[in-house]
Amino acid sequence: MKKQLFALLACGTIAAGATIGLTGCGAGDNSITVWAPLTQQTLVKKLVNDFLAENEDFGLEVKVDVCGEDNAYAQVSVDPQASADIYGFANDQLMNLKGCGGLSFLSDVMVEKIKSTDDALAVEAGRIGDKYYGYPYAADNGYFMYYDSSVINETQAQNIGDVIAACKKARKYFIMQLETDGAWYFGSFFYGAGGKYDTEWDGDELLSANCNFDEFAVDVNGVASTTYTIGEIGAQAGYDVTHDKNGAGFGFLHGNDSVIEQQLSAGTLGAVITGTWNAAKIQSSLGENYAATACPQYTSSLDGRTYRMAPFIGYKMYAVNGYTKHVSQSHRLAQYLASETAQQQRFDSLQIGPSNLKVQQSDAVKANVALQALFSQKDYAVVQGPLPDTYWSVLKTFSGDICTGAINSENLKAKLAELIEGLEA
Amino acid sequence: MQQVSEMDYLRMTGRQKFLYRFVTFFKNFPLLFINFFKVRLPQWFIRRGLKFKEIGLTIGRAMKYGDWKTRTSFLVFGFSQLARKQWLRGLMQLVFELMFILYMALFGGQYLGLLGSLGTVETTSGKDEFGFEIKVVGDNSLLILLYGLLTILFILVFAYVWYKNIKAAYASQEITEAGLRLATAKQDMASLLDDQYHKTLLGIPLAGLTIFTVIPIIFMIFVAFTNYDAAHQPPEKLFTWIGWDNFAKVFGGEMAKASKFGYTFAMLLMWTVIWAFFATFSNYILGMIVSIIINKKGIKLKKLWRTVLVMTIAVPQFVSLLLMSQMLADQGAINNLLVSWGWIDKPIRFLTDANIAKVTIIIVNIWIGIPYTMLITTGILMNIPEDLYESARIDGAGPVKAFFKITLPYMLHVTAPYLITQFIGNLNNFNVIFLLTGGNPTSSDFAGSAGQTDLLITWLYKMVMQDKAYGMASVISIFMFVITAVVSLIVYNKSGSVKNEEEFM
Amino acid sequence: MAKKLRSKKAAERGSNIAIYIILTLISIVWLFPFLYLVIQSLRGEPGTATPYFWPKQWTFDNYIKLFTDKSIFNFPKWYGTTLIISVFVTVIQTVFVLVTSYALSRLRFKMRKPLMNLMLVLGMFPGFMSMTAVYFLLKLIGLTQTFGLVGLVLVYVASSCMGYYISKGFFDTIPKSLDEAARIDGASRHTVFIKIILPLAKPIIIYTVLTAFMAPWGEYMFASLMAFGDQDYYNVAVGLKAMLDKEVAYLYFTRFCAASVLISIPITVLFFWLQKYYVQGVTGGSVKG
Repeated sequence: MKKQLFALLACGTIAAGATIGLTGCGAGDNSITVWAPLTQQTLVKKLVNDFLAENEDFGLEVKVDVCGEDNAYAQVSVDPQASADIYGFANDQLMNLKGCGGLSFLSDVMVEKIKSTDDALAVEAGRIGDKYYGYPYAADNGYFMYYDSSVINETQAQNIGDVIAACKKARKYFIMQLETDGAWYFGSFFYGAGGKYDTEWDGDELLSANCNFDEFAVDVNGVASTTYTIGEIGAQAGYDVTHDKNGAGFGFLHGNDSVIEQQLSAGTLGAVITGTWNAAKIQSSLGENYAATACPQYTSSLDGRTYRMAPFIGYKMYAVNGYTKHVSQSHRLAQYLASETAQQQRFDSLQIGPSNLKVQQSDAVKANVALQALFSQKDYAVVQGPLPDTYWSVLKTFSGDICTGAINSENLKAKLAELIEGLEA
Repeated sequence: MQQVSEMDYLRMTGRQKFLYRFVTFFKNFPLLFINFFKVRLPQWFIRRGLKFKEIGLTIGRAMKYGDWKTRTSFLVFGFSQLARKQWLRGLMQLVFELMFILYMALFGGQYLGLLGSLGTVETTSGKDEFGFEIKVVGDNSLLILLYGLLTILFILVFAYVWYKNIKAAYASQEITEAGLRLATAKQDMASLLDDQYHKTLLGIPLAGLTIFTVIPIIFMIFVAFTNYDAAHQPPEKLFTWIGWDNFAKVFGGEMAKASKFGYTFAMLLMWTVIWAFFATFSNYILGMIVSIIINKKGIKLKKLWRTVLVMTIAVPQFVSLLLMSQMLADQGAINNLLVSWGWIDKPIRFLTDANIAKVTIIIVNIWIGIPYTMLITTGILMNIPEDLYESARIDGAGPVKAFFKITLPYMLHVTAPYLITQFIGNLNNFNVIFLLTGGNPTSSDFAGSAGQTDLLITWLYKMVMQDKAYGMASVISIFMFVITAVVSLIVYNKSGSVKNEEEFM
Repeated sequence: MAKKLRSKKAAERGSNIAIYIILTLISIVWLFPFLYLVIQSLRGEPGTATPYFWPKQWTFDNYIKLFTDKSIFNFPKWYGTTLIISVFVTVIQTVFVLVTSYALSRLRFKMRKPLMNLMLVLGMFPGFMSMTAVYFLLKLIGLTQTFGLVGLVLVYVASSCMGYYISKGFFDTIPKSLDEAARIDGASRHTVFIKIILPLAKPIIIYTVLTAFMAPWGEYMFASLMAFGDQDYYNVAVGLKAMLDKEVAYLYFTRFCAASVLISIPITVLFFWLQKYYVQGVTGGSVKG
């Protein structure tokens, strides 16, 4: 009797629910959802209203919900079919999103349209094979160097050694994030020296990956030793610095956003490699000494040659969910949300760096020091394209090991081989 | 250690006794396993066998001797009862049957056939009239597996209800034939509040448990035998059965070596056990000492001291741990303070050096745990008879000796279940590690983005949330589950609180 | 003799002073993070971290703005949502736990032992492993997205009967002679439970209520899954975490601290009010605190 009662209850719930669920699917057929980050809610809601006012024939209701661009894959992959019809994402998630079915490719007409208006790199960043999947709207997902122009002059700012020396002299810090969370910044040393990480894809499936990072760290008699240089920097990072009473410690400091803020408010920030999200606080703190430029060059301590750090650059774009019920309408709205007007407004209200060529050329954007520094790296920066999941875990581990001293000149070769093996797996 | 006679045992000192019991407990552990497989398991199968025989006999009897009302019950649930005017029982069974049929026809049936392959129709994409991509959704392996299992469960329940229905149908026939009165609906209801009260009480809670815990767990166990991972995410891609491959990656010689999963599992398991041990006992001992100190006669403001400690419980853990990790960062508040006082030259790498981080984590856990231990032990400590201490004092025992001679044994006796719960809870303690270090620093020796301070559970989280390696994660979680479950079942059932449950009062 | 006594007293006082010092130190260590939180919440200048301890500007703005500036973060809404969730969870979970533990403690039926073992063991399976399955089961009965909050409450309470252990221990300690006397007088098991056992079980009821009420305030994983991007369905944990996103953390960290303080208030108050019962509950009633 108990079992029966219990079974009855259990099955009753399921059966009743299933019926509701099945009939419930029809609801919301007349609306689409847009996901935008919390900070852009007001703006996107306004843009959507503008769009609906311009297009009275649109015929669908639009709801704006919250999802960060960096969080798109995590959210969409849970249940692509219930996810928003349109959402913003950072282009490094392109492969993952394709893998879970969260993308719908653009029509040729749309591709031509965005090719004519937007930065070519930005458009390319949304490509897999011969299909394009995103409407780019931001080109500020990268890093460069901010500095205090009263500490470092323009020439000094071009070389990492000079930057550190100038900082030391002025009892200030040059901050860069290495270690475990610094994998994003760390790769720039490899790429700068000519390192390559090539991947070949079939659709969203990784066919092969080729990496030659190990060629840049052979031995004392060999070619450039990028890794060794990083190792030297890493060895200094954060361990024999901070507030040394004799001032000996000033110079390089490893740290995250919190550390940047601390040094800003302590007035000891000389230079920092970071992205646009820190621009406002750095500007307000440095005042008229606020300056920014491309990531500096560095001199290998072994071959004496000079390379320029080649940072990652990433884009943000709107995607249309592959499982949307309103494909063409969603594409129309997505294109509008990434259009010139939208990007102009996005820059005006939130200082988000545009990918639209016209907006990039506008006076306001040209006057933005941080964005100009970022854009100046366009020619040699590495577009953070489709990277397999293993890339981050492997590089994170490696950069962590280098900074903790787990990698030294003796086992460097073996560790590099491991790195390559991990990256090519 | 050899088997000791009773005389020898009695002659031992306290510490020897404890050691002896400790060692025999662990020596008996393998025996318990063997006992389980050699005796308990076969017995269980024999009992099941007998049960099935009985079921068969009951059905046979109802078939042979049943009247037309009973026999109709084979097809129409509750017919016998309805025909004999037991409206409530009959109706409930009939409704159940109808619901089952409805469920199978409308929903469950379609998933059953696909369970073997987990779907064959791939999701494909095409173009709409404007040239945008549209998807033609195919089979969804995840839903097939999940809803398929649900349906199987439903069928099992159905079979059980069918059997019960026949049994009851025949029973009511026998009762009427014997000239006795059948229970009325009113009597049925009354019995649900009395003899059958457990059914009333447990019905809904157990239904919830089955649907939202048991079925998902069975689902995850089955996932361990599939290739469900980042490259096979439904509905975009199908996943399918791959047998024992995932297990081989962790436990099978060559494959395990190549994938590093086996090594990672072993290392993290070791750290997990070490962590759980230290986290549990450091909290326990220190918490008890703190509450002894507060309890001491002559100490004033007892309430205030307790209140201060308890306040930490009120701040949500994710907030307090976040602040902790910020303060303990390489350039965090604590390092800044220590450096500016001139106590250290370089920041201490509280959370970034693997070995220091492990110690830090245990210490932070003490900060979290002591208030709880204090709350729980305070009252029990007051219950220790004062004359025990008095006689110890007359024997010349100091407070330290009294603690080890009287307090600790007494507390261990009373709070054993609490300690066990804590130990098992710590094996799966997600928050502390995840919010403090996130498992970092990472290591190139580990697979699946595992870090050096990761517990098995935080590693699992990374595998599932970041890497979407559901298949592999399921294998790991099955093993974790088996280990914790077996240990805790044995310990619980050996511990006093379960054994003595009938004897109390 | 008198001299000896005095020296003993002196030693006693000495050790008491030592204990006071230790207790003061302990209090500082335990209160420090909480104080830090409060101080940060009163800081006027923005930023996630400052190299100094005491704020340069003191202000209540962070608290006021939580309720007035709802343009990005709608804290009052999250607070209300969490409160509602908590209340529902508390009521249902308390009933489930009490009912289960009473049945397991007092009633004797065939599957009791296996059931107890099973429920004990099930709780050890990592919850997030079954999250996907739970989500799609909820989706099947239409309790995701629009009805996500109902689903969330359901998930929180559905398996709460697994937490029977402590309250069963409590029920075990209530003398069985009480039940038997009532049974002889003709009371049904139901009557015994409602009229006799429950009134005696105040400590364990309060313990259960407390633990049930506290849980939803810090729960992030399921809450964020069930909100599925809709800010109206955020609970405080999900909302607070959004305040720490790198784009906004600089401006909102102090407000985050203020919000955290506000969250701890109801829990602190409840806790102090009911502390006595909490201890009695968890120690199985054997203690008259």
